[in-house]
Amino acid sequence: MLTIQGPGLKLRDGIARRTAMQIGALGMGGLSLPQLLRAESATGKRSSHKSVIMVFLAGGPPHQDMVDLKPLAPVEYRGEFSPIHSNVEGIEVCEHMPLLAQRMDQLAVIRSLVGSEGQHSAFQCLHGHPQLNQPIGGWPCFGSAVSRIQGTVNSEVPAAVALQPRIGGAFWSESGQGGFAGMRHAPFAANAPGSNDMVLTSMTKDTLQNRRALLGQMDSLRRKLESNDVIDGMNTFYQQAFEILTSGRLLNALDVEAEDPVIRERYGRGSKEPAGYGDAGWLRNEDFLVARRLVEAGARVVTLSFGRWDWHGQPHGTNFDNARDHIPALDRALSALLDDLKDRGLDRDTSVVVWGEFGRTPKINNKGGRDHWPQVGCALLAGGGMRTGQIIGETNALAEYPTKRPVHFQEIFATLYNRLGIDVDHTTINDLTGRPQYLVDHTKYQPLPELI
Amino acid sequence: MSLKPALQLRHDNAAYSVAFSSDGGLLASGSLDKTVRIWELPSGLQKFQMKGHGEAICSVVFLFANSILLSAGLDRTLRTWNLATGMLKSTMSGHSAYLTCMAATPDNLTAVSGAHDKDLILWDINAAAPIATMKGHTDIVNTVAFSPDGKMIASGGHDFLIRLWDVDERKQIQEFGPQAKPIQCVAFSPDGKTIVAADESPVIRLWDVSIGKTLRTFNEHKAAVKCVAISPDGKRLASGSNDTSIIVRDISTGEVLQTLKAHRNTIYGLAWSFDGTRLASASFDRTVCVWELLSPG
Repeated sequence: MLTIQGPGLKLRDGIARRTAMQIGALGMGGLSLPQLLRAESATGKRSSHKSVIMVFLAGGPPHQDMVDLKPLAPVEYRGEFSPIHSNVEGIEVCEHMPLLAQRMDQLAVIRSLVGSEGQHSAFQCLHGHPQLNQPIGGWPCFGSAVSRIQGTVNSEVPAAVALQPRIGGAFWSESGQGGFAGMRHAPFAANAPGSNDMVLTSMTKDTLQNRRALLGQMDSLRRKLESNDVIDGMNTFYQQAFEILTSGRLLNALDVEAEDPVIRERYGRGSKEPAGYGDAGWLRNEDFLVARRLVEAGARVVTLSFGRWDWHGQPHGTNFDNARDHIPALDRALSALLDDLKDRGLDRDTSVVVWGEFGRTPKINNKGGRDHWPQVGCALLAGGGMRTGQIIGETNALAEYPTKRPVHFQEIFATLYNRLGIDVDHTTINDLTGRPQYLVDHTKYQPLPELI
Repeated sequence: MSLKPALQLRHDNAAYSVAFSSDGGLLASGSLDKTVRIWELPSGLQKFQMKGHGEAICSVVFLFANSILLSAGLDRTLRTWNLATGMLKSTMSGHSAYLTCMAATPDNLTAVSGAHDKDLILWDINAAAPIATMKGHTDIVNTVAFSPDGKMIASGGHDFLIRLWDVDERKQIQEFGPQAKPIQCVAFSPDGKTIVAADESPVIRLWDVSIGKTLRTFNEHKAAVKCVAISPDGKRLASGSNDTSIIVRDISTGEVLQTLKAHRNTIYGLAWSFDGTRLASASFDRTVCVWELLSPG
């Protein structure tokens, strides 16, 4: 984390209350300041660009209690919630999603998500591949791959930004790895404090400039000692780091207090306290708003983790206690995001995906919980010019397995790449052995024709 | 009789437990946010936020003229807190799995806890040490209560039975049931002659302690009942449910006096003030509500 104080970064009153704006996660996975930055030069500013907002529901959301209710199933399967009609004929969702029900024409519901690795982890949702048997260097996460392929929209905002907080359950709060796309493409983790943070206390913009001058002198001296391309490259990164730090564009996007209070209220607030019992991220509706602000500022991929959806039952509340807590929060935040994107004309350029690592057991356990169920899960897709207002896939009477149109995780990724203008049939990134790697297994998985 | 909402106090996560001080000046609440909070009444100002438990706090009790608070957490510990300073005084541990329930004797000398390890443990509060472990439950223990004279304990859990224990003998003396589902809550009447209990269904049963028979059932909730509390005068029974409501009844006639609706999620904790004029409720919706009686009696 790099913390800088001073007038050069003062955006509005809200900043002063926080005492300093923090540029987070420079230390993520050993990253240093230059690794914030992409290697390429800015490719020019556009009024709008294609982007993706990914909402990760850590722990595995209960598909049968949200978008695939089975009211005719036996009581030990069907749960406590009733379905409600939506604004699309034939589509029903959970009674605790009334706002999304009225926006179902803007959503595509995947009821047959398959291919889960079964790992309790954000990895598959962030990277599109299993954790096991990765190529040398590791799979780049979705944002890293997009950063590598498309670069930044402008020089002040990284292509990939992750809003996940870094907390105890690292497997849920990780922001995604750069992998063989390169560490410099790893998402900028805006909310990730940690022991590796670089905190410059009491530093003003002026002193920062002085430090830059000092750094320049040191680098100049070093260059005299040895001619080294790496150091030259590093200079470029440092230069870009200073551009970000001093421009305020990224900082402003992250500053939710700069938002119109009326719009802010639509999203709801939430809290930065860890959700559930402390091993997952927070349940913070405002992250949806920050994601929109980041997309507007130039980010191509923004990921966030919302709450803790791993509901095994008492003594940590039943599946339904937790669902009554989380689902209305998601209902409000996601509805506000859809409205906001539409109001700003971003809905055709920005794709939204909401999902978790797997579904949950059809039968309710003796503690009122549902356990892990990799056999089938669900996903919500919106925006991006996709054909929404439809259900894709179907499960059997107990929501145990797909009976129609199973949709693999990689088909979702192929669709998201497609929406960004990336052709999964022809786009590769070389791994550390120099071997080209496709973004998804394109021989099996293609963009969903139902959506594009 | 009518209760009106007076305060809604907020935790950062689900609220599980509440207790009034004997003088009515303080309210304690325990939460999944791992804090015990002490609130001043009637203002609702937070006096202390006590951190130390590593897990949710399932039970809280004021002790020794409200100078000490005893809390129990899923982290398998009981802790005492100095209410003059808000500081931790002692920690007791002994269970080998989630500790889910706790109660203290009226003389404040002894506590009992139940846990996922199926055991009940008796504790010497002053010595902060276990006295005895009582075995008998064959599954998770969800709820414990002392009789008003402190001589008996009622407990219930996932073995579907309500068990009565003799404290001095430290052994089970009776069992009621089995019920159809895990026992969620038990409470003694102030005269110690009856027990109110609910399994994971909408039905509440009133048991005669001496003969082990059901005297009456109450069936107005729409979903599982999670907690019950009998008013100090023994006339009113409050129950909290998955259906997010609290129902207050006349315990002798069964008449529903009032249905309280302010929570948006399951009610996990209920407590009457010692003078019977206030009721507090703790809910998974992260809030604690204080309800005040408009017309006592």
